[in-house]
Amino acid sequence: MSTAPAITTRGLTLRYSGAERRALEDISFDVFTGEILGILGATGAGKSTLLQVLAGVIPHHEHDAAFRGDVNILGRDIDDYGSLTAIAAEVGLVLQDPEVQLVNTVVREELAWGMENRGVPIPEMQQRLDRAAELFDITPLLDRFTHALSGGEKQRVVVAAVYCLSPRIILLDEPTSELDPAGTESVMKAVRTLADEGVTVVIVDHKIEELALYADRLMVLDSGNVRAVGTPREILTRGDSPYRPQVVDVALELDMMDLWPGTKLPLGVDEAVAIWTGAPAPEEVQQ
Amino acid sequence: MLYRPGSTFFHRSDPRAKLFTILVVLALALSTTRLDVLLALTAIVIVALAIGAGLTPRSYWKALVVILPLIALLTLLQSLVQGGPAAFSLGSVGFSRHGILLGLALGTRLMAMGICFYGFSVTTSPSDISLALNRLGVPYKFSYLTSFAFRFLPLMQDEARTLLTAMSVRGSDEGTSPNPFRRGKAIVRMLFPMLMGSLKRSGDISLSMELRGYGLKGPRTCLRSLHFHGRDVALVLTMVLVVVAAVLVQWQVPNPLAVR
Amino acid sequence: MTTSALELHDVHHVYPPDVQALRGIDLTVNRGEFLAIIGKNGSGKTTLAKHFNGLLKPTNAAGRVLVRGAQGARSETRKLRLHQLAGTIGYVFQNPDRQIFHDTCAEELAFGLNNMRTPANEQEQRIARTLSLVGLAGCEETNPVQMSRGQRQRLAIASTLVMEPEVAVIDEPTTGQDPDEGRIILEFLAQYNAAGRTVVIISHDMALVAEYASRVVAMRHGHVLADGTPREVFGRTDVLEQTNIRPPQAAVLAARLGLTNVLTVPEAVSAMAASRNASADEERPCMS
Repeated sequence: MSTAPAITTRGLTLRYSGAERRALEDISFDVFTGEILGILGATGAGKSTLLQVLAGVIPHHEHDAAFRGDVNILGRDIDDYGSLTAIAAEVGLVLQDPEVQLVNTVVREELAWGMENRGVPIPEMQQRLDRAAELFDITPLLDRFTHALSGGEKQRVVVAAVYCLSPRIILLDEPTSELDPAGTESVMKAVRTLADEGVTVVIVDHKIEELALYADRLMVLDSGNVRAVGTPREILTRGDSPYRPQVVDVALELDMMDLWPGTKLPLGVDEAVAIWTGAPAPEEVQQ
Repeated sequence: MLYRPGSTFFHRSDPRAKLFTILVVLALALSTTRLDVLLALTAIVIVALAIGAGLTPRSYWKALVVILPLIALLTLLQSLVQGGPAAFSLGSVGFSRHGILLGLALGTRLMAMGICFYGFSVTTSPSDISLALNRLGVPYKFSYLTSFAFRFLPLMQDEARTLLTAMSVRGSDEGTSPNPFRRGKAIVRMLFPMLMGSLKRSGDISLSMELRGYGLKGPRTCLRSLHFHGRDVALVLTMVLVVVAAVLVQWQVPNPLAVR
Repeated sequence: MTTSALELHDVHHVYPPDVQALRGIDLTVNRGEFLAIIGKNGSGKTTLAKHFNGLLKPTNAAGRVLVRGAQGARSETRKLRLHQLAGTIGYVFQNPDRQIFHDTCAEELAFGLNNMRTPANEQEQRIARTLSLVGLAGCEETNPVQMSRGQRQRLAIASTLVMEPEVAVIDEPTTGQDPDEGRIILEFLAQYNAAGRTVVIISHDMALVAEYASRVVAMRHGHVLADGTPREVFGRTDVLEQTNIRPPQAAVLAARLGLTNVLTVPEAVSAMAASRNASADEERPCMS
């Protein structure tokens, strides 16, 4: 993770025509190159709208909204890109519903399709395709029909298809909603790998236990406002946060009884066990 | 969706060779009304599918049963409309021999074409069809529609089925009623949510396609490629022979069933 | 004594060509239970639930699903048409948009009541009562199109609950909902359950299952792998490892610390506090 911002936003304000209140209210934040920024918030908080702004879908594709504010993508103002497809070359957006993003009959063709449209040479296409399939654990699905996949399988194919386009920024709108815990973890791990390779990731999800472990920073949205930005530890271990993993709840309770050892609250089970038993945390062992 | 993956001769054939084949069958079937030629053609199609694609009539007899009443009706109509000597008569109504033969021929023609199409769609993947059309000069925008349709048809089917079942689950027997009027009501009720769903979806689909570069100017690459193998050449040559044979037969061999 | 609402005997289900989705299920669902079916994607959860109201029938000749009606008479789903069971067993599909047909919430709820021949004077009251149960009070004339996905999900569930079925089966009620929405949904299902009716849900959300369900059935490869109270099932870590099910975090934490019989946050807190006090007592003599 470097300190150069991949995305800079200033004063994003948006109101859908006919809506009573603004969907986004003067939002400013940065996303750094190679980090995973998790966005938390209730339904209607403006999470999906924000992703659409970052991808240029608003105002390029969706015109039914009054929008102002500045978005800077990889050092260039988003308006200078000219078209949605030009932005899409750098920014990959995965929408919530996988069904609308599978537009080919067979999984292999689904992964290849975007690259074909962009004229990627065959050897490189094959290479990227194999890598995406391996990373998102869908190699056994390559010859299956897209319509016959389960919801969770569809979600993984859709993310892999966007990854195939080699975007430098990936925006994910609830990519694990239909996945079971193992599937969620495998997608999160893949996303972590991408970020470690320098891809910038913004991910909207409700699964705080996973975000706690895999995101670099979290941002809490509430009715179109940014309520908090910080590391998962800063966001999820606050006593007044509506988003807390159960281990934090347990630690906070024990802390009130003066039983929690030390001042550090845990983010996950491994860490909680380590702190409680006094053993060094797994990360600390490595260092 | 009809397509079933496999590795038979017809599965492995180049879709362009297969397109040529069905065009030949189509042309032959439409070029004649001679029952003997049409029966022979049907027999060839059935045998070819059984050998080359492992498709025995057992796998498509259900569809044939649907055509049979149509053939019977055609034959009856033709026998009443056409003139010439009567094959038999019921009371004062004479049934034309020529008409019966013509009706049967038209029915057989339908059968030959239907079975042929069935064989094509079972052995050819939608993406192969779209690729073949593209290679034959159809612009990508149009050829892609074939595989796009095959992608979303099952989804619509699935949606319709769930909507109908959801009605039954809430105590309505309209969806399964034998009364066509009640059934119609269920279908009308189903249409609105399906339409709303499609509308909502089509906007999102076009967005996701645009984001992945659909419609970009400049050269497209294609992961899959088509190869015309020896067996495809053989298939095309065989079809040419079939055409020659059919022409010769019609020209040289008198119709044994003809009304003298 | 508990009476059964549903009985499954030796139920197998094979999808063509030869996908074994259920491999011999024997299961009795008791009246008044809040049953959660859990298991990873493809374990047979939905296939099992669809047998409860005859959406699917066993594919083996010996397999039987018996439903006990209001009068206590048992009938086999194989011999019934789907709509005949509607008043006894309700089923809510996962996607609300595939089960909402009408322009207003009131009409949506009235659809099932009309099919049940509920008298008109009773309908209005039942609709109002059910809408308020699911937190949509006063929405009678609202068009579902204008509602949020969470509200549409609640409406879809309401349109089944309004028929007051003995057993309400709900496929993944909280998938795709934010945590607050999920809690609202389980809260009103619990209320429906408290009135003596049976609720069956399929769910991936183990924290909610632990909190609300009275019984958990864990599925794997078409078999019932574990069956019991949430405490019993989530306590069997050996079994759960195979199913890829993750018990609530508090239970996992306690289990890792060697503390048994812990399911919720308060239980984890008291168990951990107790163990710390106990070990402190042990250590004290040595320290002095």
